[in-house]
Amino acid sequence: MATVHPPIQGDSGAASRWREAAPGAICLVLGAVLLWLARSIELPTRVMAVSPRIWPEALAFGIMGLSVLQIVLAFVRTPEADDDEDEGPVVRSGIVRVVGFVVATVAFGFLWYFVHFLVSGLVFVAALTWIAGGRGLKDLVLFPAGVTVVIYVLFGLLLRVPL
Amino acid sequence: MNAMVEGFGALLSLEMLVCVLAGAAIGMLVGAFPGVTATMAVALASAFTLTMDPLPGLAVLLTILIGAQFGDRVPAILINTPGTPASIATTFDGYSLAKQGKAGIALTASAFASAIGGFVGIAVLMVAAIPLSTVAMQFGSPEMFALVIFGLTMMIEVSGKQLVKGLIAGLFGLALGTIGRDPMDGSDRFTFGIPQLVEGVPFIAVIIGLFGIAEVFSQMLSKRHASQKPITNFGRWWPDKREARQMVKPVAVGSGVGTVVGVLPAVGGDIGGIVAWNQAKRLSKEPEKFGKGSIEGLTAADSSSNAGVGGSVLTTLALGVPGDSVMAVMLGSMIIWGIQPGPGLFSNQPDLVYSIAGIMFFATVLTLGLSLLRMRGVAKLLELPNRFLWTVILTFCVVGTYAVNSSVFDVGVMLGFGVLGLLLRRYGFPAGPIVLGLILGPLAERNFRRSMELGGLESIYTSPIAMGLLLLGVAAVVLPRVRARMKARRQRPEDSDTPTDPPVPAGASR
Amino acid sequence: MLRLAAVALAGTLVMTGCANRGGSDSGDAENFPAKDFTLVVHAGAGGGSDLTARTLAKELEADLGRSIVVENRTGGGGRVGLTYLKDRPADGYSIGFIPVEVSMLGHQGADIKPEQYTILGQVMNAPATLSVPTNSPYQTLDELLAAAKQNPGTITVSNSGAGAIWEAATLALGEAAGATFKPVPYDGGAPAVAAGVSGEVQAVMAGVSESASAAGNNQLRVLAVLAPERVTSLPEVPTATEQGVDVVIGGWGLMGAPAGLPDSVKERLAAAVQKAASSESFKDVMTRAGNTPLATSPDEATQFAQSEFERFGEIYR
Repeated sequence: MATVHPPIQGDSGAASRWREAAPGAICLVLGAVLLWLARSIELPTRVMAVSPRIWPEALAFGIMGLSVLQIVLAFVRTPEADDDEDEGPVVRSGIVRVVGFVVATVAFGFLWYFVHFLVSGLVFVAALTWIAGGRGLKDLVLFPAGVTVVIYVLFGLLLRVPL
Repeated sequence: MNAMVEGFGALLSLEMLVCVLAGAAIGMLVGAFPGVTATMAVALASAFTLTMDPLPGLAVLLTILIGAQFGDRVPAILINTPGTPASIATTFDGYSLAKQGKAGIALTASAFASAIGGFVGIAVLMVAAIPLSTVAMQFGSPEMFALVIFGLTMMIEVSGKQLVKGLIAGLFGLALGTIGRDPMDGSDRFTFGIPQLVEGVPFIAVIIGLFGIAEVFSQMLSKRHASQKPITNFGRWWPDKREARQMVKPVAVGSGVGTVVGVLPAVGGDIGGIVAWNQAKRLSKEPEKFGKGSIEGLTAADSSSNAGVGGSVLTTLALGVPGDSVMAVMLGSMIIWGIQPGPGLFSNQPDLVYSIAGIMFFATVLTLGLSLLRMRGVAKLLELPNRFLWTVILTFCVVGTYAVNSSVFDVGVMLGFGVLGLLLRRYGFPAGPIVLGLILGPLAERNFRRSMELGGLESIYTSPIAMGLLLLGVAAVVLPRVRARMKARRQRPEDSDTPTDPPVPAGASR
Repeated sequence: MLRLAAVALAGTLVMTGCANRGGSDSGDAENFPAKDFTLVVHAGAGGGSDLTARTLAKELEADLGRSIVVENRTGGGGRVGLTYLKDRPADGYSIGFIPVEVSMLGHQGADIKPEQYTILGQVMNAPATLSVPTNSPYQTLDELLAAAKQNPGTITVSNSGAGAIWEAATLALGEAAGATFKPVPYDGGAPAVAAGVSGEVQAVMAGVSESASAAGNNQLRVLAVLAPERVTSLPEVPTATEQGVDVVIGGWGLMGAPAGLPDSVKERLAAAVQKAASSESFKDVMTRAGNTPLATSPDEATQFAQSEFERFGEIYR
């Protein structure tokens, strides 16, 4: 997550070109990995009209070709302002919040294994609210309790999901 | 005519009213929760309805399905998370409209489009079931392959200006679709020894991650204070005359496309919505607005996925072959009830067909009413401060995704794709093509390889339907671009950046 | 792809951590059952296996006096559910529906064998049927087999999916008759039948439940049932054995629990399963769905699963 580079407003020079080229390079590598994986598919003993490798291989070549195009375009094309995306600038506290949510969810996965959903769910919701900026009794106790009970009744009791 | 009176007459009882009401409430509720699909709700309900009489039982099941297809629009529009796969295409324009402060109109327009699409599907079920079902039988593996390729051309439309990135994303979606058991020889492919991947990447987890979770994360990332709202107001609720007139064409396109796609066996409302969105964009006077908050795109997608319900009921009843996964569950119940779907049903028990159509009609009217009444209340949820809203969305997505297969693995996939979706957005890669590739990729590969087994390439180029669809796909991609270029040449050179034109400067790709 | 692998890895860690959640306290045999049961089904809600399990669960609840929660643990063509059941505590409160895949998956690279379960009895059979489109030139099984012998590997036979039981049935039939078919996998039983109805393939291998309704609509002609005796839903159709080809194959369902169940608990459960499977309402639902209800003893069922395991070993050799 720490690798998310905040798009600096107004930079249109080399940094933005590299920013466009980098995902192309990553995709190129991923395409190569896919090609390697496709090449290592075992051929079936039974005779087939089409090799099972063809489709994944074709996709891999497509990805690699387009990735090269993406890298080339990053340097050839004049960068244009992305007018239709309204993504705001990244703020530091935002990164912390996102990482916090992800970590909390993974932690919940483990906690859930040991503790009944009504308890682990309560802790989970409270943790999320805290990370998102909630403070005080209402935010950290009443709200999580309400959400957990609603989920438990809806999914656990009505839909019979083994929570 | 007699059968019609008899069929509709059988519905006039208090029991039926209770069944439809219960079905509508359950359906709208499960539809509105991401993760819980109509298939799952119908499957669970069928355990209870088996002990009921066929008609009330069918009323509950069908109404759940229809209710879910109204309910799932709400999270798609308000929080960018499709409630069920049938509303994937709803998110393309619905959420953009909501962000522009037009959530009210989006919800109303969506409900009306869904209802009109539903009515068209029902009408076709009553009038043209037998002829259309013979069309469905013409769709073998080569024809399905061609249809899927036709659907894949949407990757180009949905990518907009970011054509190269969109195509890369689409190919990665297709590559994700190759994970799982090889469709022809049955060996495990790219599963890395994980049993949960043998039947493919859990697709609902992927959509919830890429759309819903990524959206929440994206808001969290850029909002300085947790009090800023994604959607500040809902605007008007009722579309004005101009907007109403704007909706006519896309709803007509959507209803038509949706019915036909619904009729095809084993293809559901998700694909119907996507194909209709694509077609409506091609036929629209303002294609550049699609994906950025076009009422046309929204209504085309929604009318299509609901028209598909009529279509898939038609196939199920007329052929005994399930029209999609929900109908597969319902078909099982019908057989237990002693209803024998198939060509004979329409001649032997026409009243039953009318009863089913009547249930669907009633259910659609009722859910439309409920949607319009209830929406303001649901929309109020969005007035929660962000710290609660984000938490509620993430928590419900986690539990909803878990509920699909009772699998924590799926939750992990959802979270992973949430983070991936966030990165993709920051680097300008559209998420739509990935989902499209993941849905259509396995269909394309299976039907292609099956066609090759059955008759080689010959089976494709000797099929008029398959060739027709392939040529149509090529034309749909090429023609608008040629026309745009010619127009650009005639006009001033500074206008040359037409919206559908890939922004490739001369010399870059040659 | 790497990211995906990482996600998958993290997911599996979480998953395996959760696999054995709950059900740790073992009740003593005298007051068994002392709490509610969990019944694991490997397939999704709404399918044939789920229907069998839920119908049986209703009968079992009445006998055991405790409620039974059906849990659908789907994925991996049965692998997820069967592995989950295998790893549950053997205290009798975790029972499961055990499908034919228990004898097949071991030969397809999964660590699943019948002996990993305490088998309580067989409750149903879903025999395979071989059908042709109504306008097919082949009127009997012999004619179809003759054509397959004349031009080996040209007669296309649709089935519900690669690696599924109906594909194995096609191979087994070919082997028993000395003919070679060309199995064509579809994405489920219904599409496979539809391919036969539309004439895209020359024959269909499917369960009775799927082909019987198509035959009732005069969309398919069923040539043979691969069962020991004729089935009630297709009384006119002769078995393959009657027509001189000795092959009996199809889907089936057992009830079971993890291996190592205490004897007293096993007896109690096996008696309950036998009683439930013999009940009229269970038999009625099974017959209507096109399957054959059964109620065999634990020993018979265990032997049966083992012999099927060896048999699939031969087919997938």
